[in-house]
Amino acid sequence: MNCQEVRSFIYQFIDGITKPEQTAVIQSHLQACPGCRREYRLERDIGARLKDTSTWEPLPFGLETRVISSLHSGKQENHSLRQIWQFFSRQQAWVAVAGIVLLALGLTLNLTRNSGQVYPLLEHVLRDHNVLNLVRGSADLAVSVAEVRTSMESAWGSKLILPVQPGAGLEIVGGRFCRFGGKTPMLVFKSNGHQLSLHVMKEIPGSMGKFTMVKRGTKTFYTSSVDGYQVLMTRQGEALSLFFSDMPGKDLLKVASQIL
Amino acid sequence: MLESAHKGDRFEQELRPLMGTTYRYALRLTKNPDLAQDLVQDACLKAFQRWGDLREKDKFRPWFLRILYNTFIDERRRFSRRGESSSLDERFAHEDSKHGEKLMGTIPGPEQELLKKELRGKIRDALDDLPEQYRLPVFLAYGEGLSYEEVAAALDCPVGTIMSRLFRGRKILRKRLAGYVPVPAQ
Repeated sequence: MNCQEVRSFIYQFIDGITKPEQTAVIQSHLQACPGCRREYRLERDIGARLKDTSTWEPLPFGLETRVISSLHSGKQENHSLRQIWQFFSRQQAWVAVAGIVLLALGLTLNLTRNSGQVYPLLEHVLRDHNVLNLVRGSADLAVSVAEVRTSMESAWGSKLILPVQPGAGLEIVGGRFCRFGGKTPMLVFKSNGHQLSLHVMKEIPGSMGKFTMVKRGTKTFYTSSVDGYQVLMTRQGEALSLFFSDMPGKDLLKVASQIL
Repeated sequence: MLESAHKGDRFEQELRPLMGTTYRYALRLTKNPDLAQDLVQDACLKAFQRWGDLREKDKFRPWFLRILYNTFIDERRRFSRRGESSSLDERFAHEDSKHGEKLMGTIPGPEQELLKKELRGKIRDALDDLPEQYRLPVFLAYGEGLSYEEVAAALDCPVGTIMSRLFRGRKILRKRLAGYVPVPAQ
């Protein structure tokens, strides 16, 4: 083979799919020809770097869990949502959108008004995960804050840092073992007129949507929002810690990075 | 119901190891991380619904990637509706820079870091700028390690066509990366 012929087989040679007799001829040509050897090594290096793309683009946090949970439980729901989306795309039904916004506003106001002893945020979180009735009525879920806190710290392998600093106004107002994600500890806080709930679980619930990664000091957080509430997630030891709050995302990040 | 649960478990077992490939393939198609996630979700749901149609379960990977590609083609307008480059830049801006270390060896220092990032960006741009007919086979074969036969099945093309597209795609990449990839020693 001359140089041109060898180079026409170079990718197949690199991929290891040349015939044995071709392989032998190409190998001996490469040993004898510095120009082709240089080409071969360059192509091989580019191929290796292309292979590295899989390490540059890791799977987004939570995507796998969302996909799997949608297969197991939310097939029909997803399909319906998709149809609704397609309807809006086709019809550009701004009147309908406005109606939905008004409806959502009404629901929010209603939720706040009817919350009674249950904090709106807590109710919101629990309603979303179908455990509201369990928490309201079930004595086995009403446990002491100390017990919840101990369980949480045991899952992390580290202590909850409270109080954060003088004047921060962060205080624990209740604790539960929540049934979403198994029996998971949950604490509810108040902070300067806002509410905050902290959950510890093994994996991300499927309904949480998409997250953005944010670095704060040595910690990595993942932020998102669900119906206007801020969601913030981080790994603490082996456990996944998840905050919900009605406070602005920036403030939630600050509080979370102080207490974990 | 029990049978349905078993079906879900078997499908999940096949799908989980493929999720990384699936997402990256969706990124190559949509060039947007958000749209890629939407595409993955839609494709997984479709594949799950058609799981019973797959006779040869050992061909799950190309079968599934073909469903993902067809999902993209069916709704190309939807999956191409947003801007491309800014989202991709954001994606890479968020990534952990240690992934780049394999590219340029292990020499420390800020200059080396910059070079690594530049090279990584160039390779990614060169790959994503390839025309689709070359970009997809090059990505599947070299980025994800599918055999030529699997790439052909995933793209519904003869193996010979895939081979010539790979050759042509690599040639274009080689030209575009000239000057960026360090020339190996003799």
